[in-house]
Amino acid sequence: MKKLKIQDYILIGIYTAIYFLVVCIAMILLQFTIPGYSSIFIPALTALFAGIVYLLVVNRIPRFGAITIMGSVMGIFFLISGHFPLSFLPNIICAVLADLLQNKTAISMKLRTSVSYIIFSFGLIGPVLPLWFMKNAYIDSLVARGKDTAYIDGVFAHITTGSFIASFLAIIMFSMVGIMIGQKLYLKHFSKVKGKGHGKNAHQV
Amino acid sequence: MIDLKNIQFAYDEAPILKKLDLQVKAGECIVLCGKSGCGKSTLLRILNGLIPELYEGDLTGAGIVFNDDFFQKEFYDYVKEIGVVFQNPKTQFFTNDVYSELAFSLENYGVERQEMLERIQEITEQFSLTDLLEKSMFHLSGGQKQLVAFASACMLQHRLFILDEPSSNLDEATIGYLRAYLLQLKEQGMTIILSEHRLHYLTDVADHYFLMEEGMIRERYTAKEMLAKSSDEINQLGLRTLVLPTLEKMSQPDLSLQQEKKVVLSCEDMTFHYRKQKNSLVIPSLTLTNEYITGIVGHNGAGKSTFSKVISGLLKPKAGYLLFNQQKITPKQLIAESYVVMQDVNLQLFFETVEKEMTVNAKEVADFEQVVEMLNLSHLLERHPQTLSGGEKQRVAIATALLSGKQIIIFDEPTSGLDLVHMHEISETIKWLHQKNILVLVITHDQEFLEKTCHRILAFEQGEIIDDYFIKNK
Amino acid sequence: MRIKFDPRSKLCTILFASVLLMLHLSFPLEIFFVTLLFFLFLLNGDLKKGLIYYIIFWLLVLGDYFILPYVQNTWLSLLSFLFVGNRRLLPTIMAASFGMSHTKISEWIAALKKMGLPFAIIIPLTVLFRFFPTVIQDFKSIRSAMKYRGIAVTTLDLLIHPLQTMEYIIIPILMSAENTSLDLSAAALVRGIANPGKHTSVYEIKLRVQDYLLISVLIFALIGGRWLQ
Repeated sequence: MKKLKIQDYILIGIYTAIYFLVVCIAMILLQFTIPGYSSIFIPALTALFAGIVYLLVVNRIPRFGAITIMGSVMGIFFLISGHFPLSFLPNIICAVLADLLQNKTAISMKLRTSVSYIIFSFGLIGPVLPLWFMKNAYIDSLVARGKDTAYIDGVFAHITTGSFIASFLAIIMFSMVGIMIGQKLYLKHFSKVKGKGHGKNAHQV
Repeated sequence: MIDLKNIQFAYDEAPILKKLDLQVKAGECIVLCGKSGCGKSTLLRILNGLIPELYEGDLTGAGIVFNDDFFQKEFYDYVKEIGVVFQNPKTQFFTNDVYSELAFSLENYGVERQEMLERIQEITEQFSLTDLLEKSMFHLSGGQKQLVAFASACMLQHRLFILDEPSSNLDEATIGYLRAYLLQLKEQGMTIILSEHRLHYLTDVADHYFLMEEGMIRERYTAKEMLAKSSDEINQLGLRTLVLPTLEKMSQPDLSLQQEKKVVLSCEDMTFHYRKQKNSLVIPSLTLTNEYITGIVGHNGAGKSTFSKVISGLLKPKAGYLLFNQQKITPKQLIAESYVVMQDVNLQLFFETVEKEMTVNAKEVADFEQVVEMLNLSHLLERHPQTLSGGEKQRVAIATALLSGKQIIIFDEPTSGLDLVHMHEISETIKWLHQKNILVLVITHDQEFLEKTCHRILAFEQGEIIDDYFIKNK
Repeated sequence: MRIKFDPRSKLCTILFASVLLMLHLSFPLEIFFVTLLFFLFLLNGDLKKGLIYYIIFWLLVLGDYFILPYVQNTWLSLLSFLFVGNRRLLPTIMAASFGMSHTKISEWIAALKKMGLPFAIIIPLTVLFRFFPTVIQDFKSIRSAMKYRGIAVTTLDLLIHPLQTMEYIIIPILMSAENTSLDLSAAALVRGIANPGKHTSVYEIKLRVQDYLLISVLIFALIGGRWLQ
């Protein structure tokens, strides 16, 4: 197996920046459409749009490490730029899992890419997690001030569990659709374009 | 210093360099010139080691550079000896601020911090860049970026400098700095090899001109031989001018008879400023017509591109109004009449074939055949626009504008990095648009191109038009 | 007067704030931590920014205080939830804002290098910081180009045809990505990024008295706070 070179690291950095642009667009779109705590759908909406970016990473740098690096870099970027300080762990863990599946198993290419993309998309659940802790904090603050929490507890437990399930299901569904769209776009735009340099290692989806 | 023999190279089947020999003595300045695709850039990539380190291909040959066998070199040791400057200021910096950018190569070779600080001070003083030192790379103009790139190529003590069309994106003022930098290096006894289309600033820097053609060095001229040539001879070699033309002013020429249909765009008391900034554009009164091809000149940041965005309807003026054929027009209506061919034309092509690119949203479908023929696109219709060459992409963009019935077309630096042939080509295209009654504006700092193409010049400075005159068109 | 903190102690502060979000925290302790962060802004020379955050914190406290009696109403309780929730999120935002101000990206990268992060992470991270502003610029140019072409002009179009619009935006960017990557690689390679020897840094990354003080205060506060509860 060939080792990753400097130029591969640079290409990964560039694709990560583009992936992050998609995250930003998803964030802005959600703010327009779903008011309130819309960030729980950021991972799902990103997954819908970013399939093509993931496919290009998998195709242009078809070696173990690329996806792991991408997830880790996203995580660290989120961490120090303060977007979602908690999100670096899921980012790294999901990326490693997706990478292992993508590059160390022998399942059919199409299935492998789809499943690893779903796993990778879960890396963005960082923004969902604070909701969980916010709920706890809220109940704490009510208890501290001697409020009867039975009723509130019930309502919020429902809301948060519900939104977690909704968010997770949306990630799975949107990832599947997203990777399908990605494959279409790849055929439409990238199969004709012959890459230079890096592209030497590329192969078809 | 350099003695290479029988260099051959190919990316795939078609050879780019054929049995090329190159000898350069220490302290010489060699200018590689020739048409696009003649192999200049490839030769420079071989000399700076990026072939085969980054660009893979089939390289053979023999020879010596710096007294060592060139084909046995270790890449990272070898590049320590050379300073490299590339063409595009936007993609040749690697960190986010000037200070780190200058330190970058020193860091990579493990230079101690104290020594680095001294060297940074020395170089910034030498190149008068001290004011930029604390700035973010993103706040610099293209020209300033290129000067920083030059300085950062000088941080390590090199013996050889390799520059690939360093002036492509620069205005005349910045080219002046570039020339001064090159003279400094020459004085220090450095060996310089550079490829260039715009030759006029090199006349007192170059010792030899190597004319390349189809992967070989066809002719070697000394500076003296080159300067003795008449401008026609230079043009016949396919090269751009050695002597920068001065624009000859003249009184308003009468071209109005040529135009069957008039397009007039004027603005009154128009101002524009970005949020939290003072007025960045003030135009008391201006009338533009399709009788003249109008060139827009001025330094970076003089307000040229803001102006083009306002008069094409992309930005809404803060005060004043615009008239289109004597009728008041809103920015929204104006944008439907206008089109900007951007410097980075990649970002304005969206579809998967040239044909689809041209026909989506097309209003003037009847003109399709004619436009395809005039812009020489017929053999490209099935191609993906993004796989085309820069000039072809430009022509596709122009075609989309024509077919969607645009009457105002603005070009943003259409000639950066173009050789003589391609510059002529775009000049002819613009003249053809002019004949088709399109109101054409061209933002450019390419004087040779201005003289060939434009009738009227608007000079910008700090958001105002400081000069408005007609020139002799050659 | 401004006291400069090392990126590593800033990173500790950010991590510390993230941990705070996950813990049960009594109200007085919360006040203590936010006040601590406020003082960090002061020391860092950002009085105005610090004050804004601090005022937001107290407004959120105040808002919650007034709404609390009415929490039986579902909508008001949701509002009250948002007040408390965002209040708890505030320290992480403050910490990150403290981390980014007066520390250049290059200093962060130098610090991460010093912390032993592998090259395989450092290089893509540098490129991410370097290339992201360019991507944003390209995004804006593409939006302008779309306006000239009359495709997906308004935000409404974006909402109605999100997939189509995304294709228009992302394909040109992805298409030029490979060339940009080659250019950046060339620029980095000729300046010795591949040199296997020791790399140095132009920034002095060193923990000073203030950094040790800050880190110990954070650790003691965390342990002390847990113990008090």
